[in-house]
Amino acid sequence: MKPYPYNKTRDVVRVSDMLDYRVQNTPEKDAFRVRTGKDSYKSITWGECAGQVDALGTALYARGLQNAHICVLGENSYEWILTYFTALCGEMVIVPLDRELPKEKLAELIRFSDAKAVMFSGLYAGIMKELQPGLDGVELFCMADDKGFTSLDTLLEEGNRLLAAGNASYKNSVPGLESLAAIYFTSGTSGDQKGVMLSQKNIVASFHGATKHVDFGEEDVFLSVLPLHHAYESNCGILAVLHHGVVICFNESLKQFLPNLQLFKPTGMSLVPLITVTLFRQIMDGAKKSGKIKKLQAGMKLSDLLMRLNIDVTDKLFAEVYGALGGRFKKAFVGGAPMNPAITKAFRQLGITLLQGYGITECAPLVAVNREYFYKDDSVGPVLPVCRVKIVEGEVWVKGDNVMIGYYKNEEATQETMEDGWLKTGDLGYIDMDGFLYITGRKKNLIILDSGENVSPEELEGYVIDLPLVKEVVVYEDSGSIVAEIYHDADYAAAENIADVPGELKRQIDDINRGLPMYKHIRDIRLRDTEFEKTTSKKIIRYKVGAPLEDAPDEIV
Amino acid sequence: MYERVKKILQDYACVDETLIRPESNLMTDLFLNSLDVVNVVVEFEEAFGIEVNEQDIRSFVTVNDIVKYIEATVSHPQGVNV
Repeated sequence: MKPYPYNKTRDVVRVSDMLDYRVQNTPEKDAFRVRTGKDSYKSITWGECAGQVDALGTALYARGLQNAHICVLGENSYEWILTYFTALCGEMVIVPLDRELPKEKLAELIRFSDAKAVMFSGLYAGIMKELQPGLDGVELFCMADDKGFTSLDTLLEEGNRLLAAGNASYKNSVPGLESLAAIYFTSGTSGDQKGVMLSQKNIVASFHGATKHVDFGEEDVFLSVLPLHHAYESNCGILAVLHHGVVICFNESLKQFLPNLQLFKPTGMSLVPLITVTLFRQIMDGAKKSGKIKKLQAGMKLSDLLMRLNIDVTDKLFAEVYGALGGRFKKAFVGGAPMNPAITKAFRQLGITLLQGYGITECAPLVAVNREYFYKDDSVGPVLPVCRVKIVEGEVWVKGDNVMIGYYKNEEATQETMEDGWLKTGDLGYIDMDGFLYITGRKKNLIILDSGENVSPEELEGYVIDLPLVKEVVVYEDSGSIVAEIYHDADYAAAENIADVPGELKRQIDDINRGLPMYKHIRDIRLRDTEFEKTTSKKIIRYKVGAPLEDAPDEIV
Repeated sequence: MYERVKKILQDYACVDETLIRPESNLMTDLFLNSLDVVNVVVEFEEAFGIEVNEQDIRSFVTVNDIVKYIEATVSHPQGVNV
């Protein structure tokens, strides 16, 4: 397997260049498709999308929101992307919010990001109504009508009237390449979220780099499944594939995932290991239940053999598998967490290409991704042509146009993370002789789940330590599960006549779990008989707890 | 109700019947991941003719949480807090 030339793509300087090209060249082509009923969808063309971007931008400017920070909150939808596009094509700063966050945290991030407006979906109208009194000076816009807020439709009507009257304030504005364009929040190691500041240049470098490595065409259809508040989805899953002219469809809810595969019949997706592993298990379980598992396994072996001879018979062998996935699904980016190479190989035998990549929000986010014909399944791929990677004492450092401006209102964290333009990722890894990047672990204390979500152990420890029955706790990940290792307070248990300590702790931690997003659930409780080993300053020596970390550095306490 | 929930969980999770008890943790004891829980909720929706708000799914930690939710929703179709 040899490297081959990068895909030829149109140069793009600003996000608006991509939109302008499409409007001039393929205005009637579908850009997005949105479910309208059980078996129906509507299309939004590039021309319609561009018209709405201009209208929304003009209305927001007329309301004094030029240069403002605009939060966006909601399930994956066209309206979410319209807001995102509008901010990025003009002089505004988009601030995507995690829709799984509790309302108090949402209010905190809206205030912290100095937002002047929030655009939210109808599902969040109730929460925003509750938060409204504490959000002085923040305009609240709802993507849906009749929710008691200024609606997106109202803004579009306002904008269209202003455009018809000759208002070109938004259309003529040009965002600076180096100036702030987006703030994405990411889990910090201390439990506090940090706002990653990205410029137009950062965002364009990352998605343009992705298109150089991974090819899609105008005939492709993408289903947007992962949450859009992650740069991975909004940049790789949306902007990169839109640059290729791909049609984007939206998976508004995980509950709709399988029906949406049938409705939209996507050819591609960006995924996390959790979804690929679950899909693979469902394929195999389905074959077992229908008595076709031996046939499927034999077909995969045959496919593997024939592929080595460059003979592809996957369409004939695996028609039923494809049918369950909509019939046309053939390629996906996979990122966010380490992917099991055996699953990648098994999908390839089925004729479905999974391209594992690596990125962090601070790099907008993509740093490396495997290519269709130049890949190693246990690697995260060759480094993108837009950046350089070096390994410093085992840690992956990145420098290039995709590297962030810094952390919002956190100069100290920025100084700690950046050195001479190099970003210290906190991930451990190496580069092999062929230029493939490998990630082997985390230098910092952060749990990376196979869903791609990052969880701060300190946040969960904070909840558990509040239980009177708990004297000390350390939270860590083991085999994909979040584990709480607990030294319990025996005196308290005796005083309260608690005989079944494990059972009581399980009940209390299940109560904590009910208040948390599912990915943060503590799935295993391990009791210990002795206190945790500590440093002289009485901090728990974290790396000596639970599953052993390879090459654990001494400073992690 | 409980037996129907148990049967759906058993078919989905492909685990031994004895593992499915009211206090069984969906993730720890039945080895479901977060996507599995969403998928199995879709099966409950079809079986019981209910609609489960995605925000409510996060409160499903044990088998009993699901049973209580379905019982409350079936008896109060407009939706209740459980």
